[in-house]
Amino acid sequence: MNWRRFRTVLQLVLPSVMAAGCLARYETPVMPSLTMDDVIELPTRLVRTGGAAVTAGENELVLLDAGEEELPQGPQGFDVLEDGSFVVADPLRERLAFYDSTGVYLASCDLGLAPQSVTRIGSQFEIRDLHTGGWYRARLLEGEEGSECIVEEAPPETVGVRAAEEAGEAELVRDTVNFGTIDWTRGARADRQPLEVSYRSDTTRMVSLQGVGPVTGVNRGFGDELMVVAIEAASPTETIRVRKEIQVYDETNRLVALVLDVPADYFIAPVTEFRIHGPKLYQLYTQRDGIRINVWSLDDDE
Amino acid sequence: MLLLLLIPAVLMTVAFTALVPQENTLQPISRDFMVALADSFARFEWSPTRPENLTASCEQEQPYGSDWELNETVVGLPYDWGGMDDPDVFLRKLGEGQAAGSHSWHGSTTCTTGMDCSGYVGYIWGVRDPAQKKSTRSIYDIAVKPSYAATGDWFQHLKPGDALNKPGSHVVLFAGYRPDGNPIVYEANGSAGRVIKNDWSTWARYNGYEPLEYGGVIQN
Repeated sequence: MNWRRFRTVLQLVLPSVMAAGCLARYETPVMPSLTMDDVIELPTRLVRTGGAAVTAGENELVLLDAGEEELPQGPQGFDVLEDGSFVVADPLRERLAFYDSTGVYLASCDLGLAPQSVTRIGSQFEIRDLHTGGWYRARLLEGEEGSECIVEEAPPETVGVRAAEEAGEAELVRDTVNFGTIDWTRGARADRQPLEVSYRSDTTRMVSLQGVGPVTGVNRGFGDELMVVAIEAASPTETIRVRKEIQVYDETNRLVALVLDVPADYFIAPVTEFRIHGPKLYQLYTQRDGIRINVWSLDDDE
Repeated sequence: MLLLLLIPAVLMTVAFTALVPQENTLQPISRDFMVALADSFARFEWSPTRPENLTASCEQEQPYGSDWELNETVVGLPYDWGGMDDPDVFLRKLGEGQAAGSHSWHGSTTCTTGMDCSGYVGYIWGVRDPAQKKSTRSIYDIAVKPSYAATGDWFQHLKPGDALNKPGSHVVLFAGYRPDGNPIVYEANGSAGRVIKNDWSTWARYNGYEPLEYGGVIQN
């Protein structure tokens, strides 16, 4: 076989092989697989003792190293504010800490309770107390002498409303394999058809399904409002090993993009793992050497 | 002649019985009972009513700081590193002026009360003697691999009352699957400082954990 014929064969065979590989996993071979755009490192201090003995710089979030027979402790929740800055629940120092969009410390406010999660509700923050399970609302007051949080019990009827609207109601359909649904119609999206989620893999199975929420203003031509879904998948093993994947659906519930490089080897497992702001997806990701916010842009930057 | 054959056989049986752990020595417990007991510890309401309940008087490796405030109503038996006090013992010790809960950085303490993660699962699985308290490394003494272990199909065949264990780290009691496929567990959680029903974590939190079944479980 001369070179020209070999090259012709390659040109014919290679695309077919690649397309077959894509089809084996997803129906659409041109599915964009988005890669992580940015990693924002937040100032972090790893300590070995908790309680009153915790000392760290004002700008630092605190991680408590794991002892024998005990899990490490530290932030489990965060949110993205209107201007793209972050608020992080810092339970070991019983405060909310604020950082700009690049991770530079801005301010903090004492809560007098250990926040497990924080969710922005307008100009307030919904907080869950780790030690009692109680729900609170906090208002940030910024004065000349620093920031202060005014904390009061949350009205029960308001608790979890935003989280429920964004997550919808996800259900893994048990008598099928790798199939689930998410129903957002009980929230503000009553006219939207429940989303049917299929996970295609020869080697792993979908073990959980979560709605992350809507994302608007993406410039890829996918439509006005996309819905973001998180999937966990695993192979049958004696020890649990789970990987994570993000799927993005358009308004007609068509799968339009994937995020496959989602880390799931946490030092501290998050309670609120994903947030959406503008065309970006954010993940709170804590490792022993620091707290990071991973960012994926759904926009086409080119 | 018959005696010559019988005596070695009896001796061998006795020796074998002494050497091999007998599954039937474990107290039979139903799954419903396990989950009901686990749930009662997560719902257990108490208050630190004495200042002593917030300050540990005995020797600790690091200064003691309480997770609670005086007269605060708390739901969930306190997390006490190395502890295995059920609610009755906890209330008695609280009344005697012991402190509610502790963490690993305090070291082993004699003046704090509550339960840690393996004390909790061990208690639900029938361990009552504090001297027999299990750790995440020794809980295998009373556990077996679930019947489905050969298939590794933990994502659909775990049963309420099974445990997810990571030796040296943490253990939780499985209570069921949520509609979205994620697990509901009961656990003595150090971060929360108490026993909780955790219905928010996803499977990724349990990466590296191994499913276990209580050796004396009544399969219902």
